Amino acid sequence: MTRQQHTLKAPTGIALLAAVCGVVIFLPLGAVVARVPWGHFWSTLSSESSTSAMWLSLRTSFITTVLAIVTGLPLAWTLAHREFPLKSIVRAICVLPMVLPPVVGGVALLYAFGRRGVVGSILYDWFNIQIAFTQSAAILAQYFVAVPFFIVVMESAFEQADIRLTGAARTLGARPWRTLLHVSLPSMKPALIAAIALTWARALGEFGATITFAGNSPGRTQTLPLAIYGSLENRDDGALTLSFVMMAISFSVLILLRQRWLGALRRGGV
Amino acid sequence: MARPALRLLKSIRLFTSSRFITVLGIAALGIAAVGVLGGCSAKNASPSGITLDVYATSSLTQAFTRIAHDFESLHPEVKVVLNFGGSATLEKQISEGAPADVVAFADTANIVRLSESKVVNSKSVITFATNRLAIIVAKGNPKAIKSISDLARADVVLVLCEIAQPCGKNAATALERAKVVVEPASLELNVSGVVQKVVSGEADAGVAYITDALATNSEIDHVEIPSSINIANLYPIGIVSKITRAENNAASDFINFVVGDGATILRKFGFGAP
Repeated sequence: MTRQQHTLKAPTGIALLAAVCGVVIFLPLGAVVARVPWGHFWSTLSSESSTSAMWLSLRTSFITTVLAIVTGLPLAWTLAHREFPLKSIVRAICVLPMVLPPVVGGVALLYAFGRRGVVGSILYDWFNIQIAFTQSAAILAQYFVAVPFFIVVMESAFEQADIRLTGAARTLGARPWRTLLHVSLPSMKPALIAAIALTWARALGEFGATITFAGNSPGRTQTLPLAIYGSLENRDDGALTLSFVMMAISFSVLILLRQRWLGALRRGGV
Repeated sequence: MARPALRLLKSIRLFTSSRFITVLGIAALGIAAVGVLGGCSAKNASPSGITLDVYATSSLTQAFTRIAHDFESLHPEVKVVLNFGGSATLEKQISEGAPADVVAFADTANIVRLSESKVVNSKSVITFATNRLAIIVAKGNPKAIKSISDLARADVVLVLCEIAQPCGKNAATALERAKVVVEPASLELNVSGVVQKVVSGEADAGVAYITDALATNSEIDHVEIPSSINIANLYPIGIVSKITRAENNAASDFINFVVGDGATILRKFGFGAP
C-alpha cells in the first residue's frame, strides 16, 4: 500500500463548490435541531402515539430490509450473471420505483394489491383479505420503493466480483448456494452493507406510497414520517421532536454501518 | 474520417480542462444563486401589472380556479397566482414568510391565529362561504349505506380525516351527536386522502365535504348528513399585512369579487352562503 505518500493537490475552486454542497445539506438539518422544543422533548417522545409510530417504523423497515435481502439478492445475482431476452428492459423496470414519485408508487400498488387490483381483487373476493390499512400494506409500500436500491448496489457488486474466487470455490466442490453465501457475499461485504443501509434508510423514510396505499392507521400503518406529517398539520411541536429522533436513529445506524463497512475495507474485504 | 474525430477530441479536452470546469461550476453557482434568491422578488417581475398570490385551502381548488380566471378577465392588470394546500400547511407557510397576498381557509382557527400574530390584517377578514359534511360511498352505494349509523357496521370499511383536521373534528362531533361509535380503518391526513380511499375502492365509506362529493360525483355517490348533527365549516378570507399598497388594492378587489360575482361560482361547486 503506497497510499497517502504525497498529499493530493486540490483542484482550484473545489473547496468552494464542496462547501456550497455541504452548507445546503447541513443548514436545513441544523435548523431542525435548533428548533426542537427540548423542554418537552421526553414528554412528546414518550406519548403513546410517538412510541407506537417509532416501534412501527423500526419494525416495518427491519422486515422490509430482510425481505429485500432475501428476494433482492437473488434478483441482483440473476441480473448480474444470467443472460435472458429483454434483460436491459427488465433491469430498467426493476429500478423504476427509484425515480417514480412515491405517490405514484402507492397508486400502482393499489392497482396491483388494492381490493380492485389485479391480485388484490382475487385475495378479497376469494379469501376476504384486504391488504390496505394493515401493517403488511406499510411493508409492501416500503419494499416497493426501497428494494431497487438493494438491487442496483448488489448487481454492480456481483458484476465487479472476482470470478476466480467463485471458480476456486466451485473447483473445491462447494455447491452454488454455499459458494454464494460463504464465498461471494463475504467478499463483497462493503457493498452488501451499503445496500442494506440504503434500503433500510429509504424504507424508514417512506411516506408517499404508504399514505396512498396503506393509509394512516395508528399502530398499523402510521409510521414515523406519517406521524411527523400529521403533527405538522396539527401545529404541535411533535413534528420537530419526531424529525429529530428520526434523524438521530438514521444517523447512528449509518455511522455504525459505515464504520463496519470501512473496517471491512481495511481488512481487505474488497 | 480521422481528422474531424481528432478535432472533436481536442474540443472535448478543452471543455473538460480543470480550469474550464471550475469556471463553469462557479458560473452555474452564480446562476443558481440568482435563480434561488431571485425567485423571492419574481412577483414584481411583470412590468405593467400586479401579481396577486392567493393561498387557498384544497377544497377551493376548482371554485377558485374559475374565480381567478373570471377576475383576471375583469382586471387585466392583475395576474392571480393560486397556491392550494391543506389549511394547516398553508398557515405554516404563510407564518414562515411565504409571499402570500390573500389567504382563504376551510376553518376560522387558522386565520384567527394569523390575525393574532399580525401576519394577516384582521380588519380584512370576512367569511365568504360555508361547507358541510357528507358521507361518500362507492358509485351506486353497493353497501347500502343509508345513514350515519351504518358507518358503525362491521362490514363497512370506513375512513375519516385525522381528528386535528377540520373535517376530522367535525366528523367526530357529528358521530357523537348521532351516538354512533365507529372504528375507522384509517385516519387520513387530509380530506383528499378520504376521497382517494373511497374512489380507489379501498374504503366503503368516508366522511368528507359535500363539495368533495359533488366534485367527484362521476366516481362516487354521497349520503347527506342531517343538519341537526352536521356542522357547517366557515370559510374565511383575508389580506396579508405586509404587502404593497398596489397589492393591497388588488387583494381588496379580489375579495370583493369573491363575495360578489364569485358567490355564484361557489354555489355551483356546492358551497353554502355565509
